[in-house]
Amino acid sequence: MTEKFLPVQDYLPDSGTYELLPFKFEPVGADEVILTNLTGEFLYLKREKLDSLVSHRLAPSDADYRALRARHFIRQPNDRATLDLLALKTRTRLSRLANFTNLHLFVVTLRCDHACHYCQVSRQSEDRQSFDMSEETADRALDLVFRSPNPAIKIEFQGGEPLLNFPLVRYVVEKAEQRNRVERRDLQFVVATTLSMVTDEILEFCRVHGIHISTSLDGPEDLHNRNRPRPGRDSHRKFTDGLKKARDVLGYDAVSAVMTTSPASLPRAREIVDEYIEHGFDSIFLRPLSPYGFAIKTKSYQAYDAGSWLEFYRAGMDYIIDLNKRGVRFVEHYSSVILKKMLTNDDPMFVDLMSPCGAGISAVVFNYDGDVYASDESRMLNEMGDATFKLGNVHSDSYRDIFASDALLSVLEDSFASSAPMCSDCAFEPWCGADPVFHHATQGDILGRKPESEFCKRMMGMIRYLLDVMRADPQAKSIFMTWVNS
Amino acid sequence: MLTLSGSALETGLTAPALFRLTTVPDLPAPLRAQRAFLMRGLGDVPEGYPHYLVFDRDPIPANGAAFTRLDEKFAYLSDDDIVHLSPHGHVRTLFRSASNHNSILLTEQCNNYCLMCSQPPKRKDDRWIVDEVRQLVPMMPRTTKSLGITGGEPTLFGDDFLDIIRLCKSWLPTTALHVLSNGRSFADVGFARNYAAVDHPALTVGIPVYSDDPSRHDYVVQEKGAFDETIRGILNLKRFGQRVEIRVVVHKQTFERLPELAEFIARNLVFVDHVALMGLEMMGFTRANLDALWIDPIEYRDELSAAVAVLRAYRIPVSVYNHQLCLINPDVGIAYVKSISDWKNEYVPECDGCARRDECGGFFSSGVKHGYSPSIKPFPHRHPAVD
Amino acid sequence: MMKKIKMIRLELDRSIYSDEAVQKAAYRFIDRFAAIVSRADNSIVVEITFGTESSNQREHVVADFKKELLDQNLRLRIKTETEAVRNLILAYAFSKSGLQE
Ligand code: SF4
Ligand code: SF4
Repeated sequence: MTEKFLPVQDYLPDSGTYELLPFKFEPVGADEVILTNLTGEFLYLKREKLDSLVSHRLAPSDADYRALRARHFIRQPNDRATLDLLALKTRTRLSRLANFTNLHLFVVTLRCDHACHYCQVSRQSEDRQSFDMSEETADRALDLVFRSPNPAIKIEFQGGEPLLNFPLVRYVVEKAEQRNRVERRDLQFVVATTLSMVTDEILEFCRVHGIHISTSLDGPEDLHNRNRPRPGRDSHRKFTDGLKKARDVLGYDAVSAVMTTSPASLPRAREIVDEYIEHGFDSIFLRPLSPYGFAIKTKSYQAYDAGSWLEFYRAGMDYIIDLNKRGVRFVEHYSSVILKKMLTNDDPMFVDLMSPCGAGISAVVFNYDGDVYASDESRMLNEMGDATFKLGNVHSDSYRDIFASDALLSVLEDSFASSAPMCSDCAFEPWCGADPVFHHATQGDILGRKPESEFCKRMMGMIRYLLDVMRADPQAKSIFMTWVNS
Repeated sequence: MLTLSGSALETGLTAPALFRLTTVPDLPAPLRAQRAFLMRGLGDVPEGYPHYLVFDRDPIPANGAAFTRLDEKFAYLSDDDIVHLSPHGHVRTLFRSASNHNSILLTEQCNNYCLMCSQPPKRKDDRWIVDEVRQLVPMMPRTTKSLGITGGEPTLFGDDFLDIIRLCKSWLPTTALHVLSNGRSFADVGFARNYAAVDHPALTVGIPVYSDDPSRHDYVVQEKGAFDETIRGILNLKRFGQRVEIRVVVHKQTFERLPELAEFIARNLVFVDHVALMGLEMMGFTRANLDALWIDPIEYRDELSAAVAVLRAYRIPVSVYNHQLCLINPDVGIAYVKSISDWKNEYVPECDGCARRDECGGFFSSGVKHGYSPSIKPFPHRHPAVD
Repeated sequence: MMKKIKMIRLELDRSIYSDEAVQKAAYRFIDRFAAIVSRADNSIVVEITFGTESSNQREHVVADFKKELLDQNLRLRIKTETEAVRNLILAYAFSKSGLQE
């Protein structure tokens, strides 16, 4: 090295001159901790290093010092870019909130041809009068939909089985399109259906109007039929036929599927994933059963606990990661939601995992009778006689009444996870959510007592699993990186 | 290697001048007045050109006009090239129409002092270059595809630098303009705003970031606090919607944290338009600091793979420049660009018989001359199938 | 057999442990024991009541709780030191002059 160049030591900061930036930590194993900062970045540190870090004794020549400074856990007093970047990333994270409601669920009928064990809202009934949404109700709901300031509007038709009231689906689609000629929003439609009653005529309507289909697939035939009883015990066959038809008409990507984990599903994670692959899906949502509906009524909502679900989840994920390594691209959505918060500045705004909670912000539900709820779960809770999360009714309340209602505001206010006890100092909080409806339903407390909460156990379990995998397996981490950016 | 600067054999010039060259004998008179005629061998000498270039032993223009005689090193000169000639016989080629890599060196001064600078900065005031460039830009063919502005640090001239960008926008609106800057000047919001206000339709600034660790970057550029200014500069540029490319030279002082740097970019600067990961060029300071800088690229191939994988996962366009194909992992191939020279890709004896020579960028001539990896290994040809 | 009430009493130096740290640590353990926190002169007293755990399990939990006390102390130090910069970042994030995307 020639004289005129200075050695690397000359560019290190003076010892003890750094400042701490906001971060939290959790123990990992006996002698390590994981640190997370405001924007969800993380790194591991030995315990004794944590002590020297907080006491401002960590030497600038220490490799951990470099990582901590580069990832914005500490800064030198002159590091102005650090604050700019942290602010920018925080802003990106929160920017989605500013757009307000995007997903509008229309429960067009409560009637259904299935009698699923874990569904309490649907009815086996011919009585259209009592359980179908009327055109008048739909009109009022649409008024509210277009009050949303969000440039994107997604209308999802739910039930019961929405195909049993397809004339109303048609009505809403056509009305919404008509209004949109003036409104010029990015308008999308989804029908959530088991596909058992799908006809060529319905599909043709979906094709012409660009409507997507979200259907249900719980696993192999016996499991699926057991979870989803209907007369003739042919739910799976109906699904298979319907899926083929729907794809033929609408195109491959216009049809997606969701899964419900019943206790019978728990030992069968691999088979369920294989079933999805067999039907040509490239993703799955390993969704735990919500503590609502039938389950709550019978006070047996713990059909299985977080521990057994986690076992199922880990088995499924191990298999899915293995598939990806063998070149089969296959995504698990629940993990993706968390990983997105770990690995990017984007908040995927998944309603269960938002902080503040997504209720009324990312989703709003219009029930068949005009009642408005903060989320699908709130509607189910109301079916159980708990109206806590009912925001109002389209026939009697104004936009203001509904979206500035105490029910919504107090939930929102109470649900910044960063203010809940335990969550406020939990290192996983930037990746976690609030789910006030869950905690209200299970603990009678919107904030929840996290040490005893199944939600918290599930989140901690998933987060620790994902962290361990990424740490032990760089290839899996690369795969996750592609998930969160797709 | 091309000789871009050298001495003429003789010249009849009395004052320094810039000339755009032509071999077309019958240009309209007003255009002849703005060109120098490039004579090749015998033939009629058209009238009306202010200056003539002849080679070697070729006969001189019979009309007695002023001429400059060049040797064969300048034989590459052709139509629409632009040269600067001095009365002392100094020749500098400033623009070659056949090249897609023309660039304007705006100054040799710099506020960094990079270990591997290929154009070692000088302190002396060279603002005169700005005046020359003001003349040069309007002489360039308006069909020029791309043009670079380099230094030193071209932004050090402040408003004069912005003037040059404006001039390019006016005369060469369809020419993609690529500025190489260390980005620090843009930490000044006002300057970044003025730069954006030029509103050039095809302008990119390439800015080096050498590490996610500020002290490591500062060391490589030999300037405390440079990292902070550079990052703030990039943020300001993106805030005003400017195109930014991040340029990373990979060497012994930067390869270790290359994957971390990629993650830093993915997390903090995901909105940049391109990331270039470049091999070391054996020029300028690099040769003085060879021990501190040189590492066989084969030794950092895994870091390179990891960095490319991260950037690609986050959908940040990434290219790997100045590398030899046999020294990278196959998964880097997707980002590999056959770059290096716009004139002639050079190879070394080890390359003989390599099956992928056509796809490989080969070497800088400086690399061929001053040392290259001992790990160069030609790709075998697949044996032709025998029926 | 009659269940004995398993009680453990911890006395913590107030010059080392803050009230807040002790409260937060105790909260994190509400699924494992009931705790009553009170103040004496220079100490904070934590009275821990267990359920049916074996003495071995109890020892483990108490050991974990002591670690948690130290962690909470550390968390508070970090929080106190970074409060101002946190507010600054949030103020920047919500200000109009941030990067427009
Ligand atoms: S719910 Fe549990 S895991 Fe999530 S932030 Fe709160 S304490 Fe942490
Ligand atoms: S042997 Fe030569 S031509 Fe072939 S890949 Fe290596 S450097 Fe390129």
